[in-house]
Amino acid sequence: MIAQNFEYVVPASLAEAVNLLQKHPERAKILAGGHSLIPMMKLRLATPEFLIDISRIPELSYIKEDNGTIRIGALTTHYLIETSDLIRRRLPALSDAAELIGDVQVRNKGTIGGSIAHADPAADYPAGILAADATIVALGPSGERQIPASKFFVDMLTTALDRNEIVREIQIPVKSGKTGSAYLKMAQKASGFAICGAAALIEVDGSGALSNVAIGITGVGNRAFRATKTEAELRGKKPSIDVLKKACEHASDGVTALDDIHASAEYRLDLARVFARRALEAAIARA
Amino acid sequence: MKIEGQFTFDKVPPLSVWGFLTDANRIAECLPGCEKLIQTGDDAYDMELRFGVGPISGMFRGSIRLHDLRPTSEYQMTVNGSGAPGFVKGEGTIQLVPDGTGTLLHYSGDVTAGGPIASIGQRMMGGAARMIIDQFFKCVAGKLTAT
Repeated sequence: MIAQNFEYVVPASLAEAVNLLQKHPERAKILAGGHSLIPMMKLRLATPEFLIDISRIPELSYIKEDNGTIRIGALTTHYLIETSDLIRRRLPALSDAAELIGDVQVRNKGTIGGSIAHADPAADYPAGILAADATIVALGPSGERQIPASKFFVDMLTTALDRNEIVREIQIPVKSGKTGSAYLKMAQKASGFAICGAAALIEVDGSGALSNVAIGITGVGNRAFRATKTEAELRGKKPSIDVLKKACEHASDGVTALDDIHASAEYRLDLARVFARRALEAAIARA
Repeated sequence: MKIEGQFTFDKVPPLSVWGFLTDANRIAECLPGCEKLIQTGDDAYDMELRFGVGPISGMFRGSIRLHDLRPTSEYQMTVNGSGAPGFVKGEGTIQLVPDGTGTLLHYSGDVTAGGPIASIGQRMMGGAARMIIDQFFKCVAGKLTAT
């Protein structure tokens, strides 16, 4: 199918884009890479009357490090994140995720800002974004706002962004000790979406014990979540096979899992336990 | 697709919950996209509802029929809706049980869907249904505790 008729606007700045959103409440959508929105428009599942194309606004695509915080511009493509030396060195879980998104064409156009604002329950970034305790910087009519990742992913396709807010930047604190991170997923074979994806970020202290553990899981529930019980059980412990296995048994405790033709809820909950452990092992190997 | 779940109404007795859930005008208060709700018979209503999750939204026209009512404890519901994104047909049971000073509502149903939302959106449908139902009951609870 082709999309329903729409008006197409190219603002010169993010502030102008915010104004345009305000002018057309409920009927406008932001267009960045378009690889989540346009397919929905072609199926007429999404029928915005105004498309506000921010993809040509300069200076919104960057990856830099400032005083121990990695700052990624909202329009940075998955390809740029995948190939960034800085991210590969400091937060490989994010490189892993970027590399596993969709296909080459999607990675060349899709942006991290667009992806997280879309909040697909099976998207790849949210697991690592949550685990890294990132901060999302959003621009709205009343100025800028910093939203912690823990509050950002609210529900399926629903974020903490107000309807007139646009993601401007993602900030990720990076630790300087002996750290490692990784993201792995079980992809649905046709679409590539995560039936389960797990990101693990760890820090190892002088004695070889895990001084910091964070595990984010996507694809399993309506939104990505942290495996807090597993994290608590692992903190301060040396990560032997048995310790990891036992702690990961709780990775999906209390989660209501998605159930569809690709995987039952029960299977997803089990995948969470398995992939939490695999992500931890990979992260520890990189530390 | 089977959907099932429960919701606890704190400090609201079954009689109040029942009263709300069997009154079309009150139900409409918690259906934000509801543009028309017309009673067509005893416990039967036609409706036009704009409804969405994230960027996906569409106009649905349909009907709800409540039947086999056992006042304050249980009723059955038949829902039919169709619109550009597809169609939805469902049969469900709502049960209310006293829970301390409140009410425990249990819902279970069978939903069939077709069209674009069902084919492309199939992986999200269960989760979306749960989200929408939860939002609805949270709204109902909000209205009941405000009175």
